[in-house]
Amino acid sequence: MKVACDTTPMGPGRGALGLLTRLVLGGLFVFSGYLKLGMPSFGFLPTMQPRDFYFAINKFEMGLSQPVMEMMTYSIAWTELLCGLALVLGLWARGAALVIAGLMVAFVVGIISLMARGIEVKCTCFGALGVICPADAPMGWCHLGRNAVFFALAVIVLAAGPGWLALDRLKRCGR
Amino acid sequence: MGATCTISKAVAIGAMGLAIGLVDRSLRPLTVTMESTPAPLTPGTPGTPTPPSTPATTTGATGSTAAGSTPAPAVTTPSADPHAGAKGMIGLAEAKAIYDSGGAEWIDARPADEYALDRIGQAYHITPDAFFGGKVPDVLSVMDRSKKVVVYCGGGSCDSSLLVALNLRDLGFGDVVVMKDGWTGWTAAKHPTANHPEGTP
Repeated sequence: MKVACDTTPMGPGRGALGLLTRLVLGGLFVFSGYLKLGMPSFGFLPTMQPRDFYFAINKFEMGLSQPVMEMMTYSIAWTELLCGLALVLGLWARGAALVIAGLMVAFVVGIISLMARGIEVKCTCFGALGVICPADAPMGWCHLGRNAVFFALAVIVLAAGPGWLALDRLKRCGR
Repeated sequence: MGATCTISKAVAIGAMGLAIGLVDRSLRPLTVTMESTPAPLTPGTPGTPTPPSTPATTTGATGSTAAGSTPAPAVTTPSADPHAGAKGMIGLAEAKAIYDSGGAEWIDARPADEYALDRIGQAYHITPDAFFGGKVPDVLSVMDRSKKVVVYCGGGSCDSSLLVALNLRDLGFGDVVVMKDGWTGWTAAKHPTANHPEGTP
């Protein structure tokens, strides 16, 4: 069964590092994706409607049509959620980390573009919650730094592997 | 694990995210403009408008004194109004006519600090974040749902007024409009505000 194929040799340090990093990064992205999709709030989660996220990314003024922007709205949120779940489970963890690293690069380019054009946009990355950066602050240096931290965490997972308690390690490639 | 394996799984995850996003979009299409007709309401559901109270006795949030004496006249769209063609969006001239009529509730969707400094009449303060988590802002319970609701934000490219207006329509407010020129346009036209009832200097 070719479910996973991560056979990287792993010592205790690497195992712990991989586990801790993917749980932190994965948890954040599960949270981030979930909040953007208009899912149930269970009375305490600051969930948004997808259109809140649509309006946020629309501010980037990428010159894309409304249908494309709507597609991006849903697809980015679902991709974040899938990546987060993959990291938490340790299934296709390196692939998920690579996607997150790519997303972070794209977001950094977007934020720099906003800053250069003087456009103020509230992040809405984590609903009404401020994760590292204040929730109601326009995107700027803090968000660049936060994305750099997320990028670094993704690189750690790419380098160290999924670590302990990962589904990736249950099956070996080709078996 | 090889780089090819990692890349192939990254592509697979990205493709899954895209595919699920496309399906989700088709199942739950976004309403991002005021052009669409509000969804019909089922009596008894949360957000159903209350029956109209006596219009002439409710001052509402307009700050106008006219509402207490005569029913609000029908407001016609001036031909010079630059936003006359966009459904649910009004320009300054129409907004001022509504304000003078006293027949509307006003909502300020700007940040709290700007609202605290000044606002239009007795506008309520509601920002898009107030709806996060499926919450319903408390002030909606004291608003007269039978009245037109005018929502504004800073003006220019701000869109928090549009977001608030769309949320209000979801909650059953049938007659919601956005004053596109916002606070900036209103004060530039020297129209009255809470702190300057005779008109902004």
